[in-house]
Amino acid sequence: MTTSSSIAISCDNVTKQFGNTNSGTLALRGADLDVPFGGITMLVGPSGCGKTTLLSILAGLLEPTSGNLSVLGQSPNALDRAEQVLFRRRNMGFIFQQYNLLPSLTAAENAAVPLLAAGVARKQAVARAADVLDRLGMAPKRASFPAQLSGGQQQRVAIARALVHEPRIVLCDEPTAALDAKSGHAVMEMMAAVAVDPQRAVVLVTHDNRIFDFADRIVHMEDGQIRQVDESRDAPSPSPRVPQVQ
Amino acid sequence: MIFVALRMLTFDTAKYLGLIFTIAFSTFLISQQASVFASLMTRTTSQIRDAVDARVWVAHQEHRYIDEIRPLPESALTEVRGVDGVQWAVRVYRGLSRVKASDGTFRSAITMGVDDATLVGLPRKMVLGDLESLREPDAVFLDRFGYSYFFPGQPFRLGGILEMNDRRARIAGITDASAPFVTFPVVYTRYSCALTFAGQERNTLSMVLAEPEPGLEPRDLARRIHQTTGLTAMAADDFGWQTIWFYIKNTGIPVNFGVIILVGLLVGVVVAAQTLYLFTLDNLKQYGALKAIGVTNRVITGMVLLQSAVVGAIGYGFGAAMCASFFYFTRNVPHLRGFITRFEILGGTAVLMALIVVGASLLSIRRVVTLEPAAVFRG
Repeated sequence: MTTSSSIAISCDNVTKQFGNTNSGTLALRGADLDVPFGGITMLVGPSGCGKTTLLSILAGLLEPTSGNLSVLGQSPNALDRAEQVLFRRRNMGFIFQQYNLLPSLTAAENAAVPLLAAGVARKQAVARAADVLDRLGMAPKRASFPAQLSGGQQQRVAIARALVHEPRIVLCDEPTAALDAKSGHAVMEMMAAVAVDPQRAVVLVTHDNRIFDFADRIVHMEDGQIRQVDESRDAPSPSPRVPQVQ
Repeated sequence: MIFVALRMLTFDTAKYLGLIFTIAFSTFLISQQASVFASLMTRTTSQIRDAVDARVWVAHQEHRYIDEIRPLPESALTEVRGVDGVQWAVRVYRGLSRVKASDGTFRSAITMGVDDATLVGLPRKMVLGDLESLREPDAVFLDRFGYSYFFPGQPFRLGGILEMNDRRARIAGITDASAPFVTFPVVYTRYSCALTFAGQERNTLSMVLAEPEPGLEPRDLARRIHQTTGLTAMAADDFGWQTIWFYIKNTGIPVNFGVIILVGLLVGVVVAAQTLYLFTLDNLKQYGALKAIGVTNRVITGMVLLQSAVVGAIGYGFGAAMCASFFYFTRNVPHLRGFITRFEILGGTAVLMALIVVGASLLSIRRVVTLEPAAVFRG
């Protein structure tokens, strides 16, 4: 059981229709989901089942067609466009399948982007980003450009970018899809060690069943609906199965 | 985010330099061709501009432009002098003479005969000699480029002898006369002397130069002269513009230059704008990620505008510098003398390039602002 104060995100009968009512696509058909703080919640399911749509709605990047959504106790739909952007910037970190790093920035500069967007001075922002990169074992690669990094290293930079501003929610879209098994496993170890925090919720969309072991909860989706939620442990907390990175 | 925008801009050196080159080329083409056109048109009025003493020009009623002169009877001068408001009026002769140097070098030259008594109509800028020496027998003033043509490689020196329509002429001064439309040498002499060089016609008076009495505007005097005598009379500026408009209306010059300027504009609009737009499209995924992360549309708009402004300013700077350099390094080329660029042209080109860059930026901004940040989750 979770209490409302331990819930980061709550969806109640959320639907999403693309296009008009008659000929459009109903991507979500009444999703009910509570995402607690302190663990990794994985959204899994076949392609087209609505995982990415749900993730986009949780991120505030898409508006649900109907239903209620509460993120950190706030209804994103009640905010205007600019407030939504600020809310996202302040409270959310993102990790994308294709990393989406800026090729023109170094690893440290890429990781500093959320701070720069928030108006932090460049020097300070890059220094803070470098600290996070160090915790992810990327100290020697701080000054490298994305093209000089392997896929696993790029994803670590993306993790640093997602965590640098200490968001309360981290949203990940297929973070291991572009990586081989070893790199994917290493990235997930990093995620579990650095991203998971009692005050943070991590939502991760994946097809990759090799990383299911890292989940605290697995939400199975099919045909725009949540079919089943598997709790892998009793209380959400940082994963004990992986060592903390020094 | 300023440094992020600048890094995005300069990271791909080939694209960055390509953008700058395109804008520079477009700027150069527009400003250089517009400058040449304006200079060429200005050259058609060189003798009018050089006659700084008189503010009203009077010519035959059928006069269309200064290179096509229908002579007036001598009585025209008296008529003009009789018009109320004329402070003074003097003769001026303009014609072409065949000029030959002692070594046989030959060229047609524009011959200007100015009033014997007052020397009104002479250019005031002298390279060598003084104005009064024109009063000496057979004295002529030759413009410095004419001198270099007849005496190539020789330093400026007075006393050289020319034959003008088989009559002896002695160089008593070297002027810095403005370059004429055609690159003929310009010879100034006294009116009486010019008539001996020109040979006799029934009417020899080319035009009359008049000066209004104090307080009377040249245009008002010109109107008065026309009403009284029926002759064409114009203020010096209008007289110059009449010639310029003649060339604009009756030659293919403006069309040719217009086409080239249009090509410059097209290069600017199509190539530069398209390259800028494609540059933004190439970075669309990155902009999407930035939007998802929480960078506002306002900041992204600022980034795109900054990138455009930087390439626009650098490109324009190079183009304008190339244009200015062209005129600087060709300033002593005889057939290009008088060709200059003007602040008005460079300023106008800057406005055009700014419009092109802003237009392209707006297209890019529209694309970025309407970009759905959720698209970054779709791979």
